Amino acid sequence: MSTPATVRHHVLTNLDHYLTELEEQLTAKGGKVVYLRSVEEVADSIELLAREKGWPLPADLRQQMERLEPGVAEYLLGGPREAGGSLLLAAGELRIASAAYLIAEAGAVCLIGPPADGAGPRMQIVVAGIDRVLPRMRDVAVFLPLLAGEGSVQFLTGPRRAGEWDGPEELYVYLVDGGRIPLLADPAKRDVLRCVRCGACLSSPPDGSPVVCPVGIDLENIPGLLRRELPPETSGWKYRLWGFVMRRPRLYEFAGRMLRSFWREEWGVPEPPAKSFRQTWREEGRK
Amino acid sequence: MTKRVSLFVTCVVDQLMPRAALAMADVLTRVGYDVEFRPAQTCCGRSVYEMGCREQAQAAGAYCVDVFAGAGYVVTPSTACAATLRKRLPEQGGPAAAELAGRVWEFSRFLVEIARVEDVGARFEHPVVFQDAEGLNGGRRLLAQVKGLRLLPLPDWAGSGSFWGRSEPVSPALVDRIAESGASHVVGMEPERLLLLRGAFAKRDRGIEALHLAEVLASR
Amino acid sequence: MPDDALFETLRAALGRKRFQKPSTPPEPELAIRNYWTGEERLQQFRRAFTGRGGHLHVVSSAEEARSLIGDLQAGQEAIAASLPWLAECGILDLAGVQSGFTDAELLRNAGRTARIGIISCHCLLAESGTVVLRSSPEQPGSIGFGLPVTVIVAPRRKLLGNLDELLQMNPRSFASFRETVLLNGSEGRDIHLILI
Ligand code: SF4
Repeated sequence: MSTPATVRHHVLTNLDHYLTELEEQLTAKGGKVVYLRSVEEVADSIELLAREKGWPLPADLRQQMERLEPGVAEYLLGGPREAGGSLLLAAGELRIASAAYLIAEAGAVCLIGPPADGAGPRMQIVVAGIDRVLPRMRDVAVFLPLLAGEGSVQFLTGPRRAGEWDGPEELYVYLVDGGRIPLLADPAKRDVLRCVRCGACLSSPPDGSPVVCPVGIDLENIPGLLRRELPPETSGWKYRLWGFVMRRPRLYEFAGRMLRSFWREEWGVPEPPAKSFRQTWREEGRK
Repeated sequence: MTKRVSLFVTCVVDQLMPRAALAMADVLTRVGYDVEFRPAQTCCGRSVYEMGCREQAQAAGAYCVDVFAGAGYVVTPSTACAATLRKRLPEQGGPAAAELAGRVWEFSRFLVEIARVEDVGARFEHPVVFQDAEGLNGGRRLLAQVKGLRLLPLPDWAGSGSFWGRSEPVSPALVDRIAESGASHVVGMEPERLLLLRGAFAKRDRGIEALHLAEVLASR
Repeated sequence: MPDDALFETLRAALGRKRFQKPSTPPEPELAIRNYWTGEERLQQFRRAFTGRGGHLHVVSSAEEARSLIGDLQAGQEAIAASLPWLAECGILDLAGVQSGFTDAELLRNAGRTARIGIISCHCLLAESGTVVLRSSPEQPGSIGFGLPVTVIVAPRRKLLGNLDELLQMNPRSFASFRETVLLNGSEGRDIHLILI
């Protein structure tokens, strides 16, 4: 018998197979699957489409896309947070939603959130990381409770069919790599992609109970696992300077004094005391 | 033979809540230890580790190994920094790093498991709520022995905020729940969380104080 | 658009060959509640569904259902899905209820004046208080999700334990519909469920 962790592990180790199956099923019912390397490419593609159709787009489209599809690394390290949700553009003609799951066997896309009003948008774009696949519909019974909470859930298998008067005329599924393939290549890091973005690990644990990741990811080690995929500045001068200072106690003390005297309210912590521990200790003549 | 401990106060406590470390030193002295502070110490490296920079975190870890060489027990008021040293030092390799990892203790665990005391002779006549730390029960056992202290329940700590890496303030709803619990103090074992709570209390002017466990145990 | 380059790197990363079959996927652990009695299901459903703002009416006959719909209408226009089940219950013959639209234009026009949409559902999930809805030519989304008040009429036998049970019974059924909605709660609308 299995747990969500083993199902996710299975999907990731056979990801090419499940993506192919998903694509076959979706295109058989008239959906279109597009592979993109990054969220920037998603935004580019949407801009292009909108220009063709003459639809106006919001100025912050790129940021909105990053919120809809933050990469796993960005998500787990606390980047844009709203994985899930959807965006209605061009006076309701275009709806962009991020998929909660993709179901390979059924060729279905699972979205969380209220269904579109009335006849719905003319074009539906679904954005998802390539890792979001589940093998079969039955898996949804186990995986949906990890995410859905109180909200409604939609499953889409394609655009409007013959004889139907509503539903989107076109359904696009944008599958985004977004740096996942290098993670998959490293067996130690692959399992970070099991993450279903339930968000459990991102909020502080309630009283006494440690957060348990439903797909068995070593939560404490996430920063370590994702280190190499981080934006380059983590190896940049700020961190080097930090390391330099932290090995020089006098410099550290000076930096600390500076920090305390330039305290700013926005930090969300109270105004620091006038003296550090070490100053007090020294002045009291303790050893 | 006198028993010795060396304080690892952590950068956050050193700079931002020194009273917690002073209180910790008092309690340790009271239960019979000779307390030293090695001024060469700085940070365990957790802050940059959580931001994703392992290199500098390891450099800080290696520096700690030098600082605390031959120090005996190293006791710290931060559950998270204790965990960092205990778990990340062995990953650096080398016998000295592993050896230090084995003698770093979080304050409450040190009292309960090494010093084997639960009653440190404290008196604190206030109603409090206690913010547990993952997997540690020593804090509650120590508080249970504090005279006059009334421990009120607060089951839901959601929204306690976070500090490094993904910083996030304490949710106003949590402040309200704490205020409604009737407690005058929040007692905790994780300095950063306490700082965030202090910040939130100050901002919303709720007349509640956030204290480190050591500060409660030091009071008489 | 099959993306060969991407699939190449993906397969290389996984150490897999082209067309290589996957190992058997592990079985999901489904929580089947077939030991619940009908009454238990109803109680569960009531708690969850009304807890999220839905209105539940349990009636014993189609006649009662019709008179209830009359009350809900209170003289206002309604549009209904052209489903055999609704016809069977005599709902499509009620005064002020339009159905059997032959084209999209007619439906749109009727939708402008109507306040109430009458539909049926695929099934109900007791544990979560969920109504499972499907769009079809007979039941377009404009009736189900377009209007301020939605009335869902269903027989009591549609009450299942939970999603696990639905998927166990009919694992492929989702694939054959364009859209399936698990409606949890009222989503800001006035939702009345009439169970017969
Ligand atoms: S708890 Fe696990 S699955 Fe949930 S967001 Fe965190 S890492 Fe992802």
